[in-house]
Formats: sequence, structure tokens, C-alpha cells
Amino acid sequence: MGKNKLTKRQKVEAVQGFMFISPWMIGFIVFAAGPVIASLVLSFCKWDILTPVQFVGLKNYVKMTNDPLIKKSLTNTLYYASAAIPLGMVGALSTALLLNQKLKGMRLFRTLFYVPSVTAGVATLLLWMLIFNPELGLLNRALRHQIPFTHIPFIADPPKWLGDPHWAMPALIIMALWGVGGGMLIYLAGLQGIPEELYEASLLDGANARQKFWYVTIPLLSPTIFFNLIMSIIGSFQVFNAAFIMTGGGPMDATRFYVLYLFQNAFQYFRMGYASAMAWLLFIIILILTLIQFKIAPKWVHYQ
Amino acid sequence: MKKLLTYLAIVIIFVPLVRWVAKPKVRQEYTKDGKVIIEWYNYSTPEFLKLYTDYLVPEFEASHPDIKIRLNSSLGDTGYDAKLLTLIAGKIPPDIVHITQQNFPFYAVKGIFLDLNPVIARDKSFNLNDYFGPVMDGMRFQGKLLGLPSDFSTIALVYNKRMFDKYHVPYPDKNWDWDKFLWAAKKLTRDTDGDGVIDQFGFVNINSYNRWPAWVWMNGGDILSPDMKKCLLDKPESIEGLKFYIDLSTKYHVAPMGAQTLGQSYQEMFMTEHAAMIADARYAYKTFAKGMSFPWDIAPMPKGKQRVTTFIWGGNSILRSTKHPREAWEFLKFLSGKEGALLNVRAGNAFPAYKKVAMSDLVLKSPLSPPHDKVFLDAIEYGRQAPFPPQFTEFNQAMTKFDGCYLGYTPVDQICRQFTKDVNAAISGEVW
Amino acid sequence: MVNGRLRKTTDPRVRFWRNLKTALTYLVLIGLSCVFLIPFFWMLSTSLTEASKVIVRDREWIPHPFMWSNYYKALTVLPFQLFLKNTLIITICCIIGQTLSASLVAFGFSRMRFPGRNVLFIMVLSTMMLPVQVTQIPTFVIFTHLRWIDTLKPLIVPAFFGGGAFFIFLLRQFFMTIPSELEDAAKIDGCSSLGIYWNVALPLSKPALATVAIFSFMGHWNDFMGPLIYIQSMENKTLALGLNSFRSLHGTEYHLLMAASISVLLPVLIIFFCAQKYFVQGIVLSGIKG
Repeated sequence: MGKNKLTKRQKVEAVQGFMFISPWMIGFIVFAAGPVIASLVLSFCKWDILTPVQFVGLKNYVKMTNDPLIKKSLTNTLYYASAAIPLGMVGALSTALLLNQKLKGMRLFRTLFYVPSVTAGVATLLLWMLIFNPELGLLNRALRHQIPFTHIPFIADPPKWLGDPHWAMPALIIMALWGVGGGMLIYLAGLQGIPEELYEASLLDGANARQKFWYVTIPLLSPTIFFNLIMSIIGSFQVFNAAFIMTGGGPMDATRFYVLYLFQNAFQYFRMGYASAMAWLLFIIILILTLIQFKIAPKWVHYQ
Repeated sequence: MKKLLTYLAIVIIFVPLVRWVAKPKVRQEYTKDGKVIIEWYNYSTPEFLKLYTDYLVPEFEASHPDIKIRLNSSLGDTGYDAKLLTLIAGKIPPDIVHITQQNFPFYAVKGIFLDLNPVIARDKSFNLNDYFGPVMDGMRFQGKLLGLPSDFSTIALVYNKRMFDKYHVPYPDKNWDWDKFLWAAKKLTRDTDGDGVIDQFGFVNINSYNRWPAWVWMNGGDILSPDMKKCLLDKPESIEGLKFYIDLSTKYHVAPMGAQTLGQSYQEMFMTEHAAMIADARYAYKTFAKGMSFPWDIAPMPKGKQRVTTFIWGGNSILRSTKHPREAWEFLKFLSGKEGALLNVRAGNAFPAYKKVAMSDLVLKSPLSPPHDKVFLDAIEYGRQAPFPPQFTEFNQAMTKFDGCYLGYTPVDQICRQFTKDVNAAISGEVW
Repeated sequence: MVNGRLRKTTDPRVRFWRNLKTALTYLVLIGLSCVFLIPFFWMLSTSLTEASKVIVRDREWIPHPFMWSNYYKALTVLPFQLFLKNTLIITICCIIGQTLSASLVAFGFSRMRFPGRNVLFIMVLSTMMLPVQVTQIPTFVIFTHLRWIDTLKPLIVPAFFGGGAFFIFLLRQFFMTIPSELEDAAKIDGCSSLGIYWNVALPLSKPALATVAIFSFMGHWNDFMGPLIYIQSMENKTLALGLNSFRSLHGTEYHLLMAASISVLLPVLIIFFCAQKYFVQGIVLSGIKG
């Protein structure tokens, strides 16, 4: 065979190709690769911007093992992830299944369910802060409402939500569930991609609804589920806005998410080195979790 | 032709774009007519900013025609640190920053403030004795003087005379001790509308580092050793003192716990007559001026085994990075000196650190002053500042554990011991 | 034969159960819709309530009277027009930047051949795994050296350098579906690669570009953490930051808070309802190809 030398034409095309992707390449070096290396180096240093950089070796990492807030913030984040991810996926999938029927008005409902996802931002966080207000909020007002025909309130003393260390995290999880619309759309698209013939074939085999679900729907939906799972994992480890705006990490560090603590270390306590070390720990954790998912994937994800 | 036009269009768009992108944001050091610009960074809210722009700045600029003052504010104290950091990091630092006893240690350790000792030595017109000693000491760190205080206040007991009269409780006075205090608070805590829920409290014990240390000290305990090498909050006297303060709400129920405040701040509770007594600083007069419909007065804090109270202060420091130290010093003197003091009084900023104005009738006989206003001033004789070690961040983090005590979730002695352990660990390490 | 539609049947029993199932489905759907949408109605109701009534415990749902003045007050207490201006500048520039550069890069990856193309593309994808915190601090330092702190530049300029791995990926998928005959025809006409990009690929990918534009809009309109780090002075704040400042300065004036929030939400809702198609399409594209 021998080496293929590029023809002049191919050389020209190669150069042009590189020029097309040059914006990304520059961006990659300046905003991705460079900073990644820099933050790794920073994680071995102590720096508060006001004083010069100091190399301290592994001290940041050692300090992390002794820092009770690191443990607490990791626990909080895992608590949130282990609740929000499964609940979110089940919720999104259920609504998608519900909407996957050929009835009139499904488009309208799909739009309505998706609206909360679209509006995600500071405005809706403020709305939910008010909803969770123990005295004036919508949620507690509904809970205190009297069961019809009795004078007994549903729940007389509802939790203080964002003001109670035990209920702050559940409150954030409830709020996350309100936004299942995004995941729902993805599942809906996936469901609609499943060919009818497979369902018919299963009917011929005598399958009932439950078996159809587990042996046709789920396997064929598995790539979508897998994608959603990876995205959810990455997303749940990055919860910041809600914690920063609604609770500031409290009460009693109940909602001090890892990424919030990282931000505070960098931009409030001025510990750039320590925050960089925290960022690398986050990176490694997410990497490990995603690699695990990729490893397990062949066992349950079916590609057509 | 078309190609030429396209190229021309690209250049016309591209060049100004690149210029805009490449333009760095720099700080103006001089005005167009050569005046030096001094930038003063503070956390004043819009109403204060207005006071400054209407009164403070014009007065200074009138007497110092070659200096122009520019105000930069973080509009409230959240985000103050983050903004200062970005200003300094972004190479657009201010010249003077407003600082309080709360965040002073954090910045002092980082060495970003200008040492004023040599500056004062050179300036014959400035006299340190014009200021209250303890307050000035608050701005000393490792032998350097890192700023000048502009205002301060001790903490004293503010009480509602009408409520005391209504329930026939004698007014607080300098003979009050903790038992008398508790007895009075109990008598003033009531369920006024009979719905089974207490809606009026004798006292409000807020979780503030400007309040609870006094109770620890009064009982003979302490928080940090004088050399800041050891945390002393696990000593029995310390725990006992703090416990009494927290028990006021969790055990004796003479102060509200959490939701019992109905979302009101402690000052709002006092002003709406839901609390008979609060421990506050003279800065509160500003808030009280908004309308108190009942007679009220000041008394010293109840005496424990000894008489101690905390004081808080605000001041200003010059950043070492300033390019105009001389002009900055002029403004600093102004802010803390007689003129600044008078403006402080007008703004209702408690006591100026400048003695002459603080002790004048202007302050003590102001229209806002209740009969015993002087108690605040006299209290400086037994006033102490709540201490901070250089390992400020860990110290603050350890303190958040007390939130649980005030909510009744965790016992005080346990948290005190945990706090001591955490702080000792932090103090023995370097500043991080 | 069965073609996916419900078999028409006259068997009354089957019809009965089928109708019941349909009715139940609608019931559940309506119930869920209520749950999803009630917060918005309550938001509206709060924004139109009088100041004194807002702190009443169980106030009525429909306020009497409608305090439209709340909106005026809420939007003038802080300079919302400045916030809007800044947000618009950032959003529009980023939409242009991201669509332009992501499509350029995607075109390069999909239709041009050069050594290392596949390896480089895997690198593009790998950046999606990178948590933003790892690059945040050094990027911040870069911008401090450039003296771009407290300007809108750190939030705009990066959009022109690739536009983000996700959009590159999306557009590349789309470009790969363009038949090569069209490209060959253009080449015969003497078109350069840039010309093919501009005259062939872009016009054909309008739906995908619309999706990119829409998602770029959503991302930047609501962006909070980015402006939080870089913007400090009130004049440069965005709507998201402005709302947060509103919360810290007037957080207990719930009626004003909700009025301001609704005002910020409105543009997003309007664009959503007008361009629903592209939203759904975008999600679908990303999910399927993922």
C-alpha cells in the first residue's frame, strides 16, 4: 500500500478545513485546555488574588479531607441526586407515556407540561421561594386547607420548608420535579420512534400491557434513558442557582451543595487554590460516574 | 467591485469591533481638569448614597478643590466581599474602602491596607487622642494601624416603657442582674389575645456575634485567649453564659424561637410592641425614627458576674494599591474627623469615633434621644470587641453551628465543645 | 389491518373500558396541568395584589382591585431598563456568535476532510463532560488580566469561539444529511468551501439553526452564574442579576417581587409560544442523537 501522500487538492482542503474549525480550536485552547491545566496547577497552590501565588503541594487536598463542609456538601449533593434523578426520570417517563396516546389535545398538554422547564431562571426561583414560604406560601396554604365537609385541616402544622433543615432539600427536590417537561419531551420523541410492528408482534405472542412495557418499550427506549441518565447526573451535580438564591446554603448547611461551596470558596473566601482542588474532585467524581454508566451500558442499552 | 465592497464592509465592522473588544476597563485616576479622583467603596444603600452625594462629597470637594470623590457601592452588605475582590482582581481597585469590625480581620490579614502609623507620624494636624481609644484599637493589627474608625456604638438594653408600666414592672437600671432580668422578661411575656399562642415577648435573643459574646464575658468566660492561640468556649463559665442567653428562647420562652417571630426582625418586633426589650446599638435610632408610638428608653445590659458589653464600629481603610495616598489620607481624615462626624450624626450613624462630637449635645440631646441616651456612651468604658482570629473563614463556618441551638435542635454545651475543637484546629493551622 | 389506530369496534364492553380509560387519562392530564400551571396563576395573582394584603395569610385568589401599578413600581425601583438593555446585548450577540461559529465549525467537521478530524471531534464531545467549575477560575483570571471585569465582554466573546460543543454536535449531524450532489453541483459552479457553506449548507439548515438560536437565547437570557462572577456595578447587571438584587433589597415586598419576575419571564414565554416547534424539535434532536 505505502504511504498516501496528499494531493495538492487534498492539502488545500485540509488547510481550509482547519480554518473552518479554527474558532473552536482557539476557543478550546484559551477557554478549555489552558484553563484545565491552569486549574490543576492552581489546585496545588494557595492564592487569594490579593497576595502572590504560593505553591503548597497537596495541602489543599489534605485540607479537603479534614473539612467537614466538604463532606457535608458532597452528602447534600448525593442526597439531592439520588432523589431527583430517579424521581425525575420516572416522572418524565410516566408523563411521556401518558401523552403518547393518540387522543385529541395531546399537543396542548405537551406544551403546557413543558412551560415550567422553559421558564427556568431566577424568576421562577423567586416564585418558588414564595410558594415555600411557611406562612404565606401556596404550598402550606394548600396543606392547611380543610378537608371538604370537615373542619380538619389536611396538615395542621405543615413543615417550614426552606426554613427547616430537614425539609429544605425535599423542597428543592419538589421544585426540580416541576420541571420534568424537558425530560418528558425527550422520552416522548423516543417513544414515538418505536416502530408499531414490534408492538403488534408482541401482541401476536400474547403479551399483555405490562409485558409490552417491559419487553418492548423499555429496551427500545434504553438509549434515550441512558442519555437522560448521563445528563441528569451531570446536571444534578451542578445545582447552583437554587441554592445561592433561595437558601444561601442553609439552614444549617442543609442545602450547601458542593458547587455552591466551591463558588463561595473562590469568590467569597478568596481561596482560589482550594476551590480549584474542589473543582478537580468534582471532575473526577463525574468522570467516574459517567465511566461506570458507560461500562454498564452494554448490559441494558439496546441500539437498533 | 462586489468583492471590494464586501471587504470594505468587513473592515468597517471588524476594526471597531476589535477595538471595542480589546478595550480594557481601567480606572480613571484623573478628571479632565486634572483633579485627582479618589474612589470610595462602601456598602451603603441608596438612601445613604444620596446623603453622601448631597452632603458629604460636596463639603469635602469644597474644602479640597483638587480632589474629586467617586462613590462605588455594593448596595448592601451581601456581595460586598465578592465585589471588592473582583474590583481588585480586575485591576480597578478603589482607594478607600469602608470596613466594619466584622470583615476587618479578614482583609487585615491579607495585608491590603495601608499602615497609617507612618502617615500619622508625618501629619502634625492629626491627633490620635481625638478618638475613643478602644474603638481605635479595633483597627490595629499586628502593631499596625490599618484604618480610622468613623462611627461606633456599644450594645445596651432598649426597652418599651409603656409595656413596663402596663404590667407594673420596674424599669431596668444599673443594678439589674441576670435574675432580675429574667424575672422581668417573664412578666412581660404574654398571650395578649388569648388564642393560646404567645404573641408578646420580654426579649429577643438574636444569633449575632455582636450580642452573645457579652453574655459569655459577663459570666467570666471567654471566646478566645488574648494571644488568639486558644479557643476558650468550652470552659464551664463560657458555656453557662452562652447557655443562659440561648435558653431565653429555648428554655424560658421569654424570647421568640424561629417562626414565633412571624417573619419580623427583632427591631420590627420591638417597634410593633411584640417585644418589650431588645439589646441593640445606637444605630437603631435610624430605624426607630420611622415611628415609635410609645415612650422608650435605654438601660445598661444586665450585669452578670461582671459588667461587660460588646461594641461595633465602622471605619475606613486605605488600600495599599492606591496611587494617591496623600489625597486618600485627606479624605480619610475628613471621614473620621469633625466634618465626617457631624455628617455621621446627621445620618443617624450612632456615635462618631471623634470624641468631641460624640460627647457634644448635638449627639446626646438630639431629637431622637431618649432620656438615658448617655448609657450608650458610658458603656464604652466596659465595652469589648468580639474577637476574630486570622483564620476568619473557618471561625465563621464553625459559628454557623450555633443556628441549630437557637432553633432548639442541638444542645448548647455540645455545640460549644464542637466549636472549640473546630476553632482550635483552625487556629493551629495557617490562614487559608 | 392494524395500523396503529384504535380498531373501530362496536363491542359495547370494549368501548366502555376504552372510553373509561380515555376519560381517566384526560382527568389525570388536566390534574397535572393544574399542578404545573397553578404556580404561574398564583404568581400573577400576587403581583396584582395590594401591598397591605400581600402579607395576609390566606388571601383571596383574585385580588380586588388589580394593582397594575405594582408593575410600574417594581420596574422603576431598580433600573430595569438598563438590565433589559444589557441582557439583550448579551443575548443577541451570543446568538449571532454561537450560530455563526458553531455552524462554521460543524461544517468543517462534517464536510471537510483533514487529518485528525475524528480525533478532534472526539475532543469536542469530551468538553461536554467538563464541569464548568474546572475552567471557571482560570478563565476569570484571564479576564482580570484583560481588564474585562465588570463589562459584558466575558459573557459575549467566548460565544464566538466555537459556540459550545452541544451546538457543534447538533449542526454537524444536520450537515451530514445534506446530499453531496448539491455540494458537487456548487463546486462545479466554482464555489469555494466558504461559498458552499454560505450558499448551500446554511440555507438548508434553517430549522437546525433556528433551534440553536432558540437554545442560545434561553441559555443567555436566564444565565445567572456567569454574570454573577463578572458583573458588579448596577449599570452592567442583567435581568437575572437585577432580579436577585431586587430580592435582597426588597425581598419582603412580595407583590413587587412577583411583578418584576413576571416581567422578566414574559419575553421567554412569548418566544416559546411563537416558536414552540423549534423548541420541541431541538429537544428531540438532542435526545435521539444522544
